[in-house]
Amino acid sequence: MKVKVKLLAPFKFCDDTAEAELDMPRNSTVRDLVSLIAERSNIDKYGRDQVMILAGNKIVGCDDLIDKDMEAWIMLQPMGG
Amino acid sequence: MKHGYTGTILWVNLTEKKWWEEETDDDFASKWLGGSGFGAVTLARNTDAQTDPLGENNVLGFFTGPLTGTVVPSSGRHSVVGKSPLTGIWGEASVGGSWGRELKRAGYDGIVLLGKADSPVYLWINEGGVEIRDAAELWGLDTYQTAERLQELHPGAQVCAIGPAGERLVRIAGLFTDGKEGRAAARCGLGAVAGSKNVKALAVRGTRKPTLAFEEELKAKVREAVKRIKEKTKALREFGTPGLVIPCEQIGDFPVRNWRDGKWEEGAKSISGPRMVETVLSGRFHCAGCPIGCGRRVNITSGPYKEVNGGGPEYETLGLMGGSCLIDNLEAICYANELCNRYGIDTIDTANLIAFSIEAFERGVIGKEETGGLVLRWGDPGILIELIHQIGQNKGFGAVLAGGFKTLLNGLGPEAKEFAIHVKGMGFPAHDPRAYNSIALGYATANRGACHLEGFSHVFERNVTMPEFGLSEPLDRFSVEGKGKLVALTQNLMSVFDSLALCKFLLFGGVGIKDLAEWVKLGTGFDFTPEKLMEIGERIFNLKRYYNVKCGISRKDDILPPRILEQRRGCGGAAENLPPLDRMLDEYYAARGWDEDGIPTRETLERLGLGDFIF
Ligand code: SF4
Repeated sequence: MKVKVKLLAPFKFCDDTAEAELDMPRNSTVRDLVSLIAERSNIDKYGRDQVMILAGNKIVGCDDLIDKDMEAWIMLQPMGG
Repeated sequence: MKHGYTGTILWVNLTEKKWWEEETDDDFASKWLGGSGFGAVTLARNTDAQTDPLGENNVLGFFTGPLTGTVVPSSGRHSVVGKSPLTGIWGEASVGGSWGRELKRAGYDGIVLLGKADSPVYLWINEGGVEIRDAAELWGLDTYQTAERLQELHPGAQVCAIGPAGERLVRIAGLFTDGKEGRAAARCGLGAVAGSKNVKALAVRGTRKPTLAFEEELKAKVREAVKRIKEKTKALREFGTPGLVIPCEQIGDFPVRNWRDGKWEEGAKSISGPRMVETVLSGRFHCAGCPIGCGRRVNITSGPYKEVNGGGPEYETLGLMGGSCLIDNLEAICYANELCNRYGIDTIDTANLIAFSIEAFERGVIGKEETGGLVLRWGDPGILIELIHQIGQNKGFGAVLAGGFKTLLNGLGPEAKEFAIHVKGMGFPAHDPRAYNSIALGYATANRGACHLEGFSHVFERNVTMPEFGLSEPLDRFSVEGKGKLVALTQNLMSVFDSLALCKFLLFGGVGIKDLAEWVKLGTGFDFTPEKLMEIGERIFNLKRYYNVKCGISRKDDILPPRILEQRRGCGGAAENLPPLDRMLDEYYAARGWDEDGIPTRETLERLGLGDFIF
């Protein structure tokens, strides 16, 4: 399954880009996706629990399944007032 | 008296130039906790519906919590309370920094100011009591200058001051602490209350440390918690609240063009937390005893905004001066933020009023005649800065804005109400209720007007969980069922935070009600359980509501502007959602034990031990 991923500042892939299309096995979860992204980006700098993922207008949880044609926007979790 | 507290409140009658100390006892402390709770009872007992917020009979109270100045993390905050000249109802502002800790060290849990000095004064508070001193030389100075001067006169003192706006009774003026770091008790116009009493500042110095019931156990618990808090809040420390800009814009939570549009992606990037780190950030700071340290220092050394050197803009300021006024120039916002701090005005209301004015100008609701010849345009830092000067000096068109939305709307036609984004006279913080249903309810029912911090419920619709309340997963932000209960619950919880005078950002560090109960127990010796704390939070929230009801508030006031309830933005991360406020209100009132009109019932008040206040 292809998943379109966009990283928002301060996150970026190791090659300095912000967008990628990643191949994920069927029945993968958002957690699996985050692990894969972590291998190729700087998202672990602040800890994975400080990442938020938006798919469409839905804030998805780590245990959610990856949907077909999902577009995932990866950003810092909003923290603060 | 239990540990943690000093057991003493300092009362100052400015008219009679007298002061005295009042002892508080365990019963009082266990019923009201401190901070906001002490403030609630003080305001309810000493003011009423007839009290003129800018008259001699209003009170201005400053209250710490039982854990202020102890090892407990993020415990340096305090609450300022008074009847609000902006809204005419319950007024409160919680502020960080070091002033609250210093007050505790001087031997006081709180200070209450009564009456009015016959000329400008400042209070010098120390372990020996208080001196009411002449402030002629300070009158007219900005908040940074005032702090600097008073620290020269009283080395080591912490200063809480108003700026020229408070002196001129600007109804969106606040009280500012920590000098150039610009920590602000900004909301509700309480700086104007200080100004109306001719009080320029309160300088405080002390050396006493509060005693703790179980010091070693508390230290051990805190050590454990601090490790966890630091780990979980790395991003908050790195980017401060400006780190919210990009994600909030993405999820449709960001105000754009006076709350009209749903997207502003490039603009948000240019004023974001990461951009701030790359450009103007010169350092970070923290409130007393805080392991998170979300404060930002900014320094601009060249170009048109080169005088900036101090506390940087928070998320709310970036959202409202940036997104809502469409200004994508970070340096200009830093400059405008510093101006607001120096004049001593609330950036949230300031920017909301300016964004509203730009739209009103665009629609022909106001023209050059009203603005004194100014042409109001989106994205114009010059206009933003000029209007801040005018508001701060209470002159020109700024003098109209200085009264806040209520007075401003009095002079305009009904069309203006549609895009005046406020509740009960107080402008929205930079979170759009169309992005989280619970925040719609939170704004509508917060006791001080549009406030995201009184409920802070939206964090439970996004990333925070609290299994002890059955919130093991963040809730769906667009769902409706259960939001009434959620908001009632989180408002009670936030009342606990505000009464303990602890920072709510601890929630991001995984701190929950169990931690709070444990810390208070070990600190004070009170045998508080989480349930007991929540009951106190509920009592405090209800007392404030009852106070407001006596000032004429009911369901008719628990509303949101038509734009928020009726206009979909059509783009962005929350393009189509409109919060069904009425439905949520029904559930909320039922959860609270209020009648259909939003009035706490006699049974509810009596259940919460508020029978004495029924009048
Ligand atoms: S998190 Fe920020 S606002 Fe809260 S106490 Fe710490 S420095 Fe102050």
